Amino acid sequence: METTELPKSILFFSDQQLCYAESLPPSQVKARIEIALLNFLNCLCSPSPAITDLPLVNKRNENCKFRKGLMSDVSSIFLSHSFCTRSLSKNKDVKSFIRVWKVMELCFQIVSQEKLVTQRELFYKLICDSPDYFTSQIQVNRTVQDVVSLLRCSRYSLGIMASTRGTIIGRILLKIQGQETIDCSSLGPAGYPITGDFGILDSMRFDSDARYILVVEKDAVFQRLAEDCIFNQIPCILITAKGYPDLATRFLLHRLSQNFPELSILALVDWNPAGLAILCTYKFGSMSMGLEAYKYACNVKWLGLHEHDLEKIPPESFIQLKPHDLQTAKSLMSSEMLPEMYRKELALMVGKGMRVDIEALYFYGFDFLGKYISSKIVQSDYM
Amino acid sequence: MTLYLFLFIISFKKYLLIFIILLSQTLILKVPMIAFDVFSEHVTTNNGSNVESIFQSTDGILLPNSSPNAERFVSGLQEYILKHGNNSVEECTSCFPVNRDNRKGTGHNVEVAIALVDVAHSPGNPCSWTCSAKPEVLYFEDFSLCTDLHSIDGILKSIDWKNYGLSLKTGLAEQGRLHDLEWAQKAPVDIKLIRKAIKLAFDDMKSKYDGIFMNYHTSKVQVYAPDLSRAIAGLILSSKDVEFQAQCASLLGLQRDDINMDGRVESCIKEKIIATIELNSGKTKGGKKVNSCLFECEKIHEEDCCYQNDERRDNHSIDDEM
Repeated sequence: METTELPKSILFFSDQQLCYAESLPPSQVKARIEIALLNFLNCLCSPSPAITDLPLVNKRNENCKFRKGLMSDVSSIFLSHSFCTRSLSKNKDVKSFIRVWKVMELCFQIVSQEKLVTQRELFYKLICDSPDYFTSQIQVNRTVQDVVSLLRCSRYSLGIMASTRGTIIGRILLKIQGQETIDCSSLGPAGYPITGDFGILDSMRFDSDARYILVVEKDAVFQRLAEDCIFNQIPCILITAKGYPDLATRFLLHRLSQNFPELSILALVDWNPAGLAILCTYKFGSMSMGLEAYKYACNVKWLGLHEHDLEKIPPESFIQLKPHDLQTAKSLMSSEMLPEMYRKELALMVGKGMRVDIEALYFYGFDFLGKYISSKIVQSDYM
Repeated sequence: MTLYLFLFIISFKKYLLIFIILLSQTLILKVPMIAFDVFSEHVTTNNGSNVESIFQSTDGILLPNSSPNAERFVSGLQEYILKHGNNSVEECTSCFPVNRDNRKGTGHNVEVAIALVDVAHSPGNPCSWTCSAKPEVLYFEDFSLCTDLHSIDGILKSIDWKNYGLSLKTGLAEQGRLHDLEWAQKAPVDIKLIRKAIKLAFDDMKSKYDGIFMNYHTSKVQVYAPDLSRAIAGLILSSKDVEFQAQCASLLGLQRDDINMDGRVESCIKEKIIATIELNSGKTKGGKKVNSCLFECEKIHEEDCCYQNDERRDNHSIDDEM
């Protein structure tokens, strides 16, 4: 699978530091779980018995690194080799410790049956089986990341699919083995839903005459552009993940960037800290994905909105930043990954204390958005 | 089974001895009449002629003279407290036929004995217990019950009782009934020494009696043992790899065929987990330390982090993880 290969750009600068999760076949995943179990039993049954702590890759800031690619424009964040533990003997860890074993037990069964489940399905199964340990999806997701970290294999290898909200539309043909080719230019405005099955995404073949990939933050904007068939005016592919991108959407975008390296990837996001954070997730990856964070980073450029676009925006469309916006801004500011130009824009947002949604451009009519994008692309007004 | 726990703090001049004795009722019944006076303990003084070992035994039960002095001493105290309980008797001639003044003359006083007793039933000895169902902290000075607790109140409060699954009832001093004992006139108590002694004594007891002195955390963790063992057993049993299952069985000390016995693997793992938790109770925080990842033991790099994680993104990780 392509996912087993490290991006060349990363290999060059950080192969010594990068701690990553491999994509493994079911037999190897099972073998790793068995090793973890034997390790546990070995300690439990030794002359000096102990309950083995579970070594996990540390997801704290100090183990999170960022490097710029030397061979390409792709940069990413990644986790390095610092470990922390889940321990039965730590008060706050007891339940997390048991959750890891419970999820591992379930994954072992899933992998043995060579099934694929979504994290949502996993959640429902776990709250039925172990309601004392699993009460929320977040607990399940975090535990899955713990298992990924323990076994050093990707989430998909564990038989877990991404629950994706991503959709794609535009000038591209998707060729899936055993299925009819999908012409994304002849779909309705809702677009083609991106599957969470990484196996399918990985084997998907593409054909496209597009020159741009437009990454759109919001589904409403995506649908507006799809309905306007913007891809007929600008040769492009539109992708949205309806907010913060899920791994499957990022994986597809990454595959497209690998297949069509000549395509510029341009992001259309709100002029607010969250919009920038979403852009940065596409661009650099997200620590929430732990050992898979470094994967699928793409050289996404910021098409808009920019501060100098705001002169087009009526004053009524400016909305005051909320405390969580400022918190996001603060976090982004403290990150060295943030390019200087992005930092300046962010400082302007904070300075004005205002945010502007993309939809503010509808002031000039629903068809103005397409014109705005065309104009920006023609002027190479992106960063 | 009723268990009796005795903690003795005995001061010999500059030495401090701490004994904790845990006895079941059965054991007590086996040695009902052994009474060793404190004086039997002290045999190595310069003027040894002043020291007399007084053994009072019935039914031919007698500790051999080769028993260590400390052991005899403890036995005597233990027997005395079991018989006299918390009755503030002046004297018990059946236990101590010797003249009290003579004992004093040896210069070996029992400063204090602390007995923690959880008695469900009265032993029925002549000097029986007047006890409540709840554990009590009793103080004995010179074989007499002392309830003037003010002087030792601070020390007792400074002990980490919780580490042994005990809690000290506050306001003990106010419950005092005897006021004729004058702690204040005695030499100041070495707080550090007593604290250390009590800790060592409890640790010793803890190591000898599984499950009795578990700290709160250990008791709490043990509750999770069944769920953990179920998950581990589930993993073993869902494997179709016979060799792997055999390896697990071997590690657990089971036969291959035991794997297929309903609940056998789970119960075996549960027992081991509970025993391990008890064994390691209060030893150190943290389980078996693992320094690196199970599957790749690469050098840990300590470079400065360039990317400072932002909470906002983490908060939105649900999107990414779904």
